[in-house]
Amino acid sequence: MSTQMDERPPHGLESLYERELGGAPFSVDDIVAGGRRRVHRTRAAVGSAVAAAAAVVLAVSVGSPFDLDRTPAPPAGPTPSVTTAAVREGGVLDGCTLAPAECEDTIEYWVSQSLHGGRDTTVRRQPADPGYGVGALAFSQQFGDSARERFGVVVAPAWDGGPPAADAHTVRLGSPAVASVETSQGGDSYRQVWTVAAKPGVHGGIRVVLEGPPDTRPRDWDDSTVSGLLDVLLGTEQGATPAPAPTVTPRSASVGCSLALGQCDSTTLSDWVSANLGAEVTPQRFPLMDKDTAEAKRIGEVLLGAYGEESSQTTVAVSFGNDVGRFGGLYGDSTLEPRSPRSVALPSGGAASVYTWDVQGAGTYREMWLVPPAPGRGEMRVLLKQGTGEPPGLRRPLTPVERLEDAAVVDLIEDFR
Amino acid sequence: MRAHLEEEFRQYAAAAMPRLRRLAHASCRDPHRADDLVQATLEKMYAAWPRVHGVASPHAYARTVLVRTLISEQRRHWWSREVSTEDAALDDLMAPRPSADGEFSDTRMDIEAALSALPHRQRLAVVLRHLEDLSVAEVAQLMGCSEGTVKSTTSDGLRALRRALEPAAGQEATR
Repeated sequence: MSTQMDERPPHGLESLYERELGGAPFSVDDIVAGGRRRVHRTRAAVGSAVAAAAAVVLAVSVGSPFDLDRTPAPPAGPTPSVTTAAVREGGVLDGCTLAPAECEDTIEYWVSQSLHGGRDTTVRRQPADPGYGVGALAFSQQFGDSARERFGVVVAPAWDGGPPAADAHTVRLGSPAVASVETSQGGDSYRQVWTVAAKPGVHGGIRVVLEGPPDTRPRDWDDSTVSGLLDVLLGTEQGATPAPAPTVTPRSASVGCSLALGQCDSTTLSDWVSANLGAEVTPQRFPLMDKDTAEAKRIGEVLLGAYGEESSQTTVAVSFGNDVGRFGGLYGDSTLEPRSPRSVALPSGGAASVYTWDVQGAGTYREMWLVPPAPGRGEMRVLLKQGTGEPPGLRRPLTPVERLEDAAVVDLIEDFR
Repeated sequence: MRAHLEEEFRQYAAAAMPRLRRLAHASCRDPHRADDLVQATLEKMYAAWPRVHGVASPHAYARTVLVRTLISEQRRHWWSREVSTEDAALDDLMAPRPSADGEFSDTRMDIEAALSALPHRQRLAVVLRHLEDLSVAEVAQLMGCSEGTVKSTTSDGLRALRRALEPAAGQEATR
């Protein structure tokens, strides 16, 4: 009898469950918009994975790594995002701002890829102030935790941002564009305004506003992310500038190889694995092909090596090229959201953003280190993937991947740069 | 997605939202996270709608998506979660909690607090088994565990709920 009583839920639980919850904070339109973005991301990731898988299959069928010397690296094109169709190609300062209607997908995609606040990264279109002129586009992003944290961007075909304010500082974007930045903090708000003054006939104007509570700034946004967005919109990102001819330089000169495809030394990876993990690895080299262009174009390479016991093998992949960041689906699962990224300063200047995923059920654990473009160089990514093994948990034993500290991976990145 | 499918999805989403929100709010401690969960679930449903729209029970599909997303998030956030809230939460619940006007909280608030204090797997098992009225086998399939685990987890959850509610019930009776 008492057993039967124990199996019944407490009185009142059902009525609690049936209570009125009030209006949902989202609408069906929001869901449909989010669903469309999800479909878009999944297709992009699947396309990347298919391209990479095809490359691997081809490499395996050939029986040896690609002979890269037979295929000289093509010059870098402007590839600011997967939505390349929405971005004008051509020259410096020739992004989408002359035709802002083309910027919409670019902004949305860039924000979704570059900021990692989950659904907080949704950017909504809103009416632009008439003062910005015909064709201007305005977007805003409301952050989840605080209604006072906000990001807004206006893109206009021609608009004079006016002279910088007295307390403004300037930030040089991809040559030769310059943005003036005004920051004010006081009362109960923080405000930062980025302005790129219009250059009629060359490119349009952009205004980015960040607002938040005092002593904070909207999450994920800092100088590098704002200038990165401006570079994408202007077409001045490093990958879009006329790249100098790749110079083949020995690694010992510490110049690196991340733009000079085919020149990165695969022994660097095996040396690093050996030094940091006490394991032997023989990396293989695979090309990354641009899936968005009609003709296959190689935009990067992957050095791939695995070590450890077969039952719990860990893979290290080093990708480099002009747009390797687009290959998020290479080993990834589009349904995974990264943990909050953090930045790690590199010894020779620049910073690496660090993203971490983990998946318990699948028994995998992944870390990715993305190095933003530096002048004259492409992007680079180091990805670690643990194979079958114990799912992450509080009491699990340390695995080889976990023994890798930030400094160790930074060293590897430095070796390749 | 084709227009007629999208329209069909819109109708489904509008109808399914209250039910999914009830499940999510009961399964999560944080109401904001619960709404995020529902939104993510319906977005996934949108992506899958061309395959799903013909199935007999889209709600069962959506419930599976929601529960698995919730479990996946719980696993993903292990580094920031409390190891266990059981003891502290129950101690807190056992203390009298006057409301703003000096009265003790009502029974519904007690139940809500007690449900929130359960470890997430116990809470999920209780919600699915007794509030969503699923069979042990269905709950086991959803939660990715054995039927025996579902039974013991549900039983532990109910026992903890009852334990948490006893002092509150006693206070009600003495007033």
